[in-house]
Amino acid sequence: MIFTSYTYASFLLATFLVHWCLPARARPYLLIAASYVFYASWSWPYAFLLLALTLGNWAYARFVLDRPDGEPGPLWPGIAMNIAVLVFFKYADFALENVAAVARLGGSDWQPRALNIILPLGVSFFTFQGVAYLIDVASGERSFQRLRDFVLYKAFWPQLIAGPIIRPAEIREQLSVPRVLRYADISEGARRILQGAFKKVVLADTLATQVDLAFLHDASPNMFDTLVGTLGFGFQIYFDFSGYSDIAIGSARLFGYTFPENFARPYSACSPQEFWNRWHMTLSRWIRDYLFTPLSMMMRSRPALQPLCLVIAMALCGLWHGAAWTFVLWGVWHGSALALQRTLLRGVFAASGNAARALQWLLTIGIVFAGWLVFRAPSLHDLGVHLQALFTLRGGLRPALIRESGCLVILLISGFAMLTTWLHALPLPRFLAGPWLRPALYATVLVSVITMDREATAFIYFQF
Amino acid sequence: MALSTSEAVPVAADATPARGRNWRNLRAPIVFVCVFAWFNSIVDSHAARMRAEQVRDRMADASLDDPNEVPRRDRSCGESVEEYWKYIPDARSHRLALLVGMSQQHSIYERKQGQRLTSELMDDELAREGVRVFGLAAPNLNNEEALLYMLATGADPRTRPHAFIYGVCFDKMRNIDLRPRLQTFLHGRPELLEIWRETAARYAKRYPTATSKMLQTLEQISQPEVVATAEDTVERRLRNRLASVLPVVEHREALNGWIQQKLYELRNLVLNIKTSSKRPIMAARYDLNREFLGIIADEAKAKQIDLLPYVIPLNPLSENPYVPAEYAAFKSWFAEFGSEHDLFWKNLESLVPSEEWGVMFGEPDFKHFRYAGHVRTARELSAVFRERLVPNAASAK
Repeated sequence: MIFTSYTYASFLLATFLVHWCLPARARPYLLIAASYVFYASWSWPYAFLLLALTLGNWAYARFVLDRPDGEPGPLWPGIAMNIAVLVFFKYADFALENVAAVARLGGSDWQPRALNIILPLGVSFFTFQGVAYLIDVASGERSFQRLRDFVLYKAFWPQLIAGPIIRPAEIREQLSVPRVLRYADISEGARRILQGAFKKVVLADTLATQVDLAFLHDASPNMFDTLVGTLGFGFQIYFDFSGYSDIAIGSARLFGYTFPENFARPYSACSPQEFWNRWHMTLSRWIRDYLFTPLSMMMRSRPALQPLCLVIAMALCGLWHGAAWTFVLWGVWHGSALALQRTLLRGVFAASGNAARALQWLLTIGIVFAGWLVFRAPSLHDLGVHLQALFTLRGGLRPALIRESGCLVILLISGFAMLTTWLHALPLPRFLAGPWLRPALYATVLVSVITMDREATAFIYFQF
Repeated sequence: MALSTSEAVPVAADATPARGRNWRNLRAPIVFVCVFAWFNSIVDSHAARMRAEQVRDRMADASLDDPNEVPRRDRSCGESVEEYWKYIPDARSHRLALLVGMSQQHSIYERKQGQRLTSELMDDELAREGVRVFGLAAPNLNNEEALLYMLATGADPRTRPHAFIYGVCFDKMRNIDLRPRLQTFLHGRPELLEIWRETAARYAKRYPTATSKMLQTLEQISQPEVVATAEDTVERRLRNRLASVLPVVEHREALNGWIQQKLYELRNLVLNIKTSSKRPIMAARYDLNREFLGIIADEAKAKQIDLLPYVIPLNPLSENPYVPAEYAAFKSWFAEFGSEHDLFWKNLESLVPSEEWGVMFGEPDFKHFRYAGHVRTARELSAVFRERLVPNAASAK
């Protein structure tokens, strides 16, 4: 059930109506049931995996980590339970491939049979959420006492597949107090859903048709394909994922729940660190709190190695995105940029003044978009081909893969995106946001979503 | 109160939630519903005109076909090929020739009721000699799509052609990818999916880029949107149900096509692009299409299908958008390709005289002709390929 499908719209509407007709005590149970229906609509056997992991995490936190004597049991078996699920489903084939590659270097001709395990949707998200919960409880936070609340926390469908990665503290209160139907929630929820659908269907999917051609596997792109394709992908992934997050936040809001934001105009960032404070914010803070901080604590006696912690943490963040070396390289690239910001480029990023801000922004955008090239390349070989095209200026300003009109589409949408980013804080005439024009604008947006809809394409982050 | 862009532009975040009480709260939803209803009524009243404009622009008005005649070509021009698949004459009881190509084969400039297209005219001429001809043309058909048609027809003894006549067009070497309807067509046929995969594996060494693209196509069509259109899913039923209530949903494809057409015209106007504006080859796409043509030739030989390509006619008076040196290089490459694959082919670029061509955007159309052009092309194709199409034609001659 893709968020931009008519099936999801019907599911959401039906659940919304039934939810608010039920007595308050029954509502969480309805949301749990709806969440499992949502997940099982994709694969019912994996719904049992989700349930088992949920029960495992709840029981471990409740009975092992949060003991009445105040002496928590060992944390690692709980973490291992989550990580084992993630590793098995996501990285088994990747690990086998790499072991075989190493063996081949040693002269062996061992060729392992691919396990072809189907990745459970959202496994990276719900396992990370599990790890975070156990660490928080082991650090002194209270565990969920009621199983019902924890099951809903883990399974609530708007955040189940691709985040935002919510912390227990952000939702505990909301889960325990009955929700109230408020006009502001419905209005805001509907607006965010419409906004997300527009980002996904009209902007991201339009970009995708052009961008995919630039990254055709084994093809020979020109420099222009690489440049425009990378630019297009940077905006495609932003609109795709922030659109998903908007729909997730909007859907939860319809039921009275407020989720943390995941994006805050990331392409206006003026340093790599600021970018990560604005991009996929709930993942960034997960990486910071559960990977980088423990790593840097371990190495606190060797301050010179602190930048290395950033690189390791970001490399793991890259690997989390997918079982491929291009993702690891992307993580290392960002980790290195963050490390450089703290060391060699500290002066550049600390300078003040308009010219300095402009330079910082350009540098940051350059780093981020170079990263997108690594991220999007189908393989390391293809990445090499793109880099070769870039550095040999192959083809000059003539594309070899994206048609001229496709380039125009990418440039127009990218320009529009940057304009809305830059003009964000500018005052606008009142009538534009008044009670008449705004709903009319939303109706136009809805018509454009219906018109441009290519029958519910999958979100990029579903593969992670 | 200063309002920001993000509050008015719906794609930007963080707008202030609406406030107010009672009827004021209802004002925004009422305006929203009214404007949406207005859009629906506008779309409803203009849908027929939008469709007619698109059909006119494509010069593919199926209503001008004889309604009493069994279709002898894909009248949907690639939009609903499944619907016309059943009309492909049975290759077990006749010799079957498929005429495959781009819009030139399905468009007649200023078409009159009852005027037939090249494939139908060839069928008229050759049917009495035991050869049936069926047309599979679509706008901008590229070589990957032509390969799909070859593999799809070749997979079933009923549709397996004896000859595959293919109109090769230089500027279609700029096109790649299967159009969404053909992706759905491929997805809906599991045996064809398997053949597609096997073909990609078989030619992986000889044609690495094209076979990579074939595998990418498979990945693409495993996405939910194609699955949803291929099967009668809940999603499809919901869309149909909603389409019966909301004209915007019902006519979304027509509206989409109309918007794309207007954007295309706007682009041409703003950038002063004409039908004669030069379009240089796109190196990677060109190479990819050459590889696909190679697979078509090899696969035809393997399946004992007679591949009969021809270089399509061009308007001799119109300034075409080809870069002369590139077009010359293409023709010389194609000649080499023909000998390398031992193909019987014909260059028809000068076949149709200037008075038989149409007009596009106020300029002589270089690729689409009037009815007379179809008559001439059909006669020429039937004559030059006769020996390969009609059994014992050579000995009779």
